[in-house]
Amino acid sequence: MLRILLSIGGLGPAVYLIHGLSTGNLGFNPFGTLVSITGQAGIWFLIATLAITPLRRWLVSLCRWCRLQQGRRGADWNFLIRIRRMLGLYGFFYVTLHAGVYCQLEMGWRVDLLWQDATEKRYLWLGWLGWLMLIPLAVTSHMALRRRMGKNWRRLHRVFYIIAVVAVLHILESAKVGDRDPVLYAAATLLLLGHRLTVAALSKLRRPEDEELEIHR
Amino acid sequence: MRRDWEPGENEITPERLFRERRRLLKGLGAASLAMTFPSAALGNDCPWDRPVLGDVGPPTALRAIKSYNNYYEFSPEKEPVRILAQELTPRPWTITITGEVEQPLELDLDTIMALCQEERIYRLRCVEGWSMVIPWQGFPLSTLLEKAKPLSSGKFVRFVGTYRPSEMINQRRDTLDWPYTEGLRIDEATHPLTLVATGLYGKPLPPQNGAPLRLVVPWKYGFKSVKAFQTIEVVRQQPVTTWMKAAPSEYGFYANVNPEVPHPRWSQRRETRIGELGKRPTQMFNGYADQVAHLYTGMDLERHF
Repeated sequence: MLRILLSIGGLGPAVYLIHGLSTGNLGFNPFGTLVSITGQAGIWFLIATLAITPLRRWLVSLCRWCRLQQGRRGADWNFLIRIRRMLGLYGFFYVTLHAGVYCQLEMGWRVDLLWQDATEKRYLWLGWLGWLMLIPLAVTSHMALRRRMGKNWRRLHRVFYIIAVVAVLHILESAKVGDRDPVLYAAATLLLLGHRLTVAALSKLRRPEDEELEIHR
Repeated sequence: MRRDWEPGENEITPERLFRERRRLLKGLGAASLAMTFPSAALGNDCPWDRPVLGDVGPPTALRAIKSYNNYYEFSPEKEPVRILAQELTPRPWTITITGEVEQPLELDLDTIMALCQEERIYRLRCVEGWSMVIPWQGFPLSTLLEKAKPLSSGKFVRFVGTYRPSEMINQRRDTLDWPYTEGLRIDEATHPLTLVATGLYGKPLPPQNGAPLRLVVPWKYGFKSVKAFQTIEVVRQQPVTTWMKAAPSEYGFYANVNPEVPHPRWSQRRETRIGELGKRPTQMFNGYADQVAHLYTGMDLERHF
């Protein structure tokens, strides 16, 4: 149920933009609106993807603390991992749209201009770097591939942490004076990555079943 | 309540109306011009030479000009400015001209509005990569400066905006170092293209566009055109401007529109003309090279950006 809601809701920003574009209703600077909405949707989905593991960990702890254990299946919150895949793919979708709008409207698909700008501005090559790193993750997101790759899948998908940092740097670099949203994105990412670091560092908090759950998916 | 500068229901397509009116005026001449703009003697009869400008393209829709505003005193975001700026009380208003001048002056708004005014249709290029075409009314800044008789020791002009945190709500936050300060070299300030705008589209200047008086320097990025200014100071040294303080590597003193000098964030090679979807190439000095390029001969414009 949640997955169906999410897969429809995830299309919201895209539908809004397509509708606005076809009715001429994207504000006074439609180019700016397209770039900003696709970029914002992208970072929101990426942060949501990053939030799943900490969220699951807290929910499991909470259930244990409340003694809400309907066996292990009821309290492991494993369905969140399946939602995570969809969130990540939506993130990739919007980041790709974000780059596509830029290529079409800013560059007219001129590779020479694209290269000129990308080598000139740090936020641009950071953006391209993030997008390129997302591609292998999106390609290997399918469950069948994931099973076939075994342990390597998790290893590869740790790249997502680097992508999150690159994405936040891209946004911070492109923020103008007075923009507060980028600081919020940076704080959220820092919190979510910091959570992982803390958990990894405090081996006391490491639960063997976490590893298990991921592998047996 | 509808204010006098707000569009009525009969102005849904102000751009078309405006162009029709202009075509009409071309055929009629100065007498009917004065009737259309009774507040000021708009026309060719002002005591200065009208600059010869090429075609600037169709003016941007009035609705866009009045709704898409960069005005940090009210908000770092563009669209809230239209509403927030209504708080500014434009009268009484005085302009002080001080510093390296023979005759320091304090002029009130009525005296200034009584000056001869003309229409100038200028391109406006924002440093953020968008542009508009705006039909301003106003008079050259030089006519104001002349009254104070600048001394030869004055090499630069410093402009100071208004500091009223009670009305300018974003001045309660330190987004920028208030009051907004800008500057020009004296020859830039006295250049015939440098305008003090008092209105646009034949109407008094809306508060979100810098009422009651704003500077318009069409060959420079928009942030040089200080809004709602109150102080003009002729100075010896190059002034430090608000944006230079905020990000010295991004905003220089000259801030001439230059497609060859990159900005870390926005491409200066291209711009979005408001009302269009794609980008168009940005012109050197925003298309005013014929008029202003001589001011910068021998200067390294990459260094003096």
